[in-house]
Amino acid sequence: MKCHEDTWGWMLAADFFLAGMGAAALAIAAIADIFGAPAVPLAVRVAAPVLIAMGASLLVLELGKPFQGWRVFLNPKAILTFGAWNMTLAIVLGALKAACYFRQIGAVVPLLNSTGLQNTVSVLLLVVGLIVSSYPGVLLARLVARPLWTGPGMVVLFLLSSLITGIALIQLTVAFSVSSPTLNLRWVLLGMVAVQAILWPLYLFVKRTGTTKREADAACTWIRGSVAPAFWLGVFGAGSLLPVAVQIVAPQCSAVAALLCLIGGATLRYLVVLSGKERTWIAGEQQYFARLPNGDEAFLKAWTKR
Amino acid sequence: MARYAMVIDTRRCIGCHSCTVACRTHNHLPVEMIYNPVMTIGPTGKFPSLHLSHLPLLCMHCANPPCVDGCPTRASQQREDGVVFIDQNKCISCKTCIMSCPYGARKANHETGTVQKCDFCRDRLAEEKLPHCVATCHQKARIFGDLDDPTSEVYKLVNTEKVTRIHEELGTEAHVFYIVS
Repeated sequence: MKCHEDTWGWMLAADFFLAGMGAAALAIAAIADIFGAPAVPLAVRVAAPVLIAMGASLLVLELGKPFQGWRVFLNPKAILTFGAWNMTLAIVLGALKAACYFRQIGAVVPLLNSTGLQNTVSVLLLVVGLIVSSYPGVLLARLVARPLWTGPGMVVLFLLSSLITGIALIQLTVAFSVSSPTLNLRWVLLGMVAVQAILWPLYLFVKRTGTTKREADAACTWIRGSVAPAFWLGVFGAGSLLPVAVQIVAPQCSAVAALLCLIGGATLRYLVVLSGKERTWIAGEQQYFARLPNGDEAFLKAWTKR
Repeated sequence: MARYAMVIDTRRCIGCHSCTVACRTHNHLPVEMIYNPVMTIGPTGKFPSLHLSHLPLLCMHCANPPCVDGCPTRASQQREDGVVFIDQNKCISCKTCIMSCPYGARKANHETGTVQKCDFCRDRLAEEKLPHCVATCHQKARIFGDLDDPTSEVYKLVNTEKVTRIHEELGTEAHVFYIVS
């Protein structure tokens, strides 16, 4: 028994993280392909659609009726439907692009060897990848009832974080790659993480000082409240400042920096989704729900036994 | 076509929770689910000038319902008479509507795998009866009717009394109005 409001849980946060990372990696790979930059490791091309599919699976498991998950495709006006279609497209196109790199598959399906098809898929992947990277931000930003999320800032922060985790995935793979020269985005990653380290405190500062009281209260939870230790240590410290320091002090440890970025990205998604529990409360509401039983009270257990 | 709305006169509400009980009983709600809780605000002030008030909540049946716009399955719908309801056959409990609602009016039912909410007792409206919470309120603190009908009590109250709506700044255009002292 749980009388308190049900909100999104860790599975949605994991979906945002995995799908955002995979989609951003696909978008970066597409940019590299379109502009003739050194290739992205094949492992990334294979892993990216798998990661998005894993995220989508978690999204389905979060549903009350997982076997009717197909219904999320039905309302084109809903952001979630838009995201679901784009995630599906990203998985299909990502798998198609990865298949182009396997000679055995190319021998069976000669069309995959066509340069025109590969270029078209790359362009589509760039668009779809960026949409999937940023759509969670759009979804959250439109929810006016959740003070920390509402406003366009969340879109930028989600896109940035997705790109960071996508590049970190590529860098992590590059670090262990023994094949021909591959795309090295070490300095791009460094720059983006530095921007993130500036943008998040600014976002919280604006929420804290320049908007409504409900948004200020939500920001305070992150600045010095219950979320603060995880944010400042996990996201700002370990996920942003430390990777920059590692890249500068020990450039040979780029895998460590990339791993830290991934940890920071995952922590950030979890904290952002968790902060959805904070609604714009109505007078007396929190006190009312605080008085309701949780289900583990002695009198309820005794009642259930009867 | 009617446009249903409710006026809650908080000056009359004594916080007896009869509406909560009536709603839960007649709608056969699970034990953890409450459609219309009654908040208690206070006591505020200093003795002997103390003040205590009650604020009954429910789905606001907004004119711009964010829950309907965000529903990916089209389970959340709004009738022409303004009643917002959930088609239980289409709902998969993705919780987007719960997150969209500024009033906490929607609850997940873990047994059915759906989300539920107040629908102004639309089964009773079809029989031209009042919602349970309104019929039960012995203080006549809840007034229900057609906002488009100039002869209805809600129309008169909304247009003559000083009414307010919760979270008006969010632009949802809630159709539950409150008369506060």
